Amino acid sequence: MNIIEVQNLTKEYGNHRGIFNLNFEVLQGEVVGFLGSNGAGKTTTIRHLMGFIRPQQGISKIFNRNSFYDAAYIQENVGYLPGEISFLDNNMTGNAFIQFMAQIKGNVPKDRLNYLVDYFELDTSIKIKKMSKGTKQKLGLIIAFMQNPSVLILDEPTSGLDPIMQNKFIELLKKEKLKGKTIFMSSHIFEEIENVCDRVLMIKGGRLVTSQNIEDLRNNRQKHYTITFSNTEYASAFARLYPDSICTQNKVSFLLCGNVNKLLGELGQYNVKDILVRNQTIEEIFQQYYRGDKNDIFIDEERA
Amino acid sequence: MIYSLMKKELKSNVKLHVVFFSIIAMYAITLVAMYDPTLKDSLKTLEASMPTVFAAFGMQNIGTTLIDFIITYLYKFVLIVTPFIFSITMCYRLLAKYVENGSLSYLLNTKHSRIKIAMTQWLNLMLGLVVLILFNTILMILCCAVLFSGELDIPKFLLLNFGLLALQIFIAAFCFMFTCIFSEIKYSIGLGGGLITIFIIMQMLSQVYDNAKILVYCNPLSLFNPQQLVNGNMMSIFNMIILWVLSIICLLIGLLEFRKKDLSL
Repeated sequence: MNIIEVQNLTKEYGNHRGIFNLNFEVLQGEVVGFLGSNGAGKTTTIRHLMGFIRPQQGISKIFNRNSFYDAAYIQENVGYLPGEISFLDNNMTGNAFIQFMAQIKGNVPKDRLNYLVDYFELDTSIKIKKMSKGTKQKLGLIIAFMQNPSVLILDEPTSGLDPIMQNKFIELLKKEKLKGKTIFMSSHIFEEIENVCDRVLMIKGGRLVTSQNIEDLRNNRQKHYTITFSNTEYASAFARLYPDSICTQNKVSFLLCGNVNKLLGELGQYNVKDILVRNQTIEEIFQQYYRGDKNDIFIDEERA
Repeated sequence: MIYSLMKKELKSNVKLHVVFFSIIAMYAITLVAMYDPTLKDSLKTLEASMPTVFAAFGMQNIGTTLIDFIITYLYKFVLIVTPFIFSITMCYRLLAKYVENGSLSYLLNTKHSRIKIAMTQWLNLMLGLVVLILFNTILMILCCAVLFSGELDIPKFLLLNFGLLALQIFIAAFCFMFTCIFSEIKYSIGLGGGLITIFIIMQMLSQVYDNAKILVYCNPLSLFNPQQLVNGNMMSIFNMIILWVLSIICLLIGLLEFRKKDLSL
């Protein structure tokens, strides 16, 4: 059953900004990552889902209801983490704000609330204005999860969290997933969502680039290698083995998926000074799946 | 209405309320204490020496009774401007700020609709105004009773304050309408606050210059004429009703626009 459904969703802000003809759906119990660089249209899409803005064309639905006109019904059953961290009243303490939100939401189990506060190790006695960015993010997460909603919509949930908290958050998401929750979360970092999502939607320039099963993505995932040889002759000789590689002086860079043993075997014949392996950047992942206007990719490469 | 939100806002704005209550109390008490039936002659001399300044603040034709005195010094400027500043500040604190910084999303991420949230905030603002004017009314009646027992015509004074309340509710609804319609502070607060300020300046000008009388007719603030109201002029009672109707219209426009506008939260 589709919990979230987006059809032909369009909102133009001029200057090619906005979202254009988005189509996707999220099934019940599915955890979907929404991946895109800054300004790609992630937050605009989420604002439509939350009924904050009205589409110019198309429709967005949650629980098969129009997310703009039935916002109050939908909102009651959706936990939302805004991308921008700002709270109603910075003079409130964390605890006062949590209690207020519990009252206004009205359906918050007390033990759940206590569990979340303990889990995120939030000191609720300090005023919001004194909190660090990460602490505020934890507060936002507690608010989003507090009423035990069946659907979670999270806009860049890990931003500001330290690595330990990020892991704890991922663990919490996994638990929620086991309970059958439907989760839609945006991010601009692939690694952040690959551990928990079933599927990834990629958005670029307001258009959906691809929708990929996480397993397929992981299997096709290339790594970026930069190998430094002891001299330029070795480098250019090695570069011939990888036609797509870029050779600059004694360095060779290329993308590779799997085949590490083969590579190690080949490298054994040369004098190698250094090997640098890194994950693909989001732009590189996009290029792999991008089927649209080629010029667009070149522009991005130049910028990079 | 959402009780938890109402309660939270009352708590958050208690300091602001105290400030405005103190300003009103200071004016009310000092003014009534200043009243001296024998002082009238010297005030008349003072007015004659600088008629334009007196007229600008609505203090021309200083009357003879205590209520005339109070009207001249408070109901033509101070009690128009002070509650207006209260209203515009509350518009910012109750709604414009939440839209501007995006925190309205926390209120919307509940079972409550936009209309219900905006209505609650409006009630908060209106309740503040009612209590402020009620406080002023009671305080002045008490001051007059203590200092000049029997001099104040209480039924007339109550009618006067009911008229003031009608004007202030209208000003608040007018400002709140712009707060609902627009998202950026410069429009959501600037337009309402700016226009009311212009109306107040227009009123001051029309009191000074005879050839500026035309400004009276294109100024909603003219619908509250305290002198005529206490004189029992039927027209001013009717004007008061118009103010109530205008307030409802402003509120409805604001709420309907708020329901359908795009919120960048």
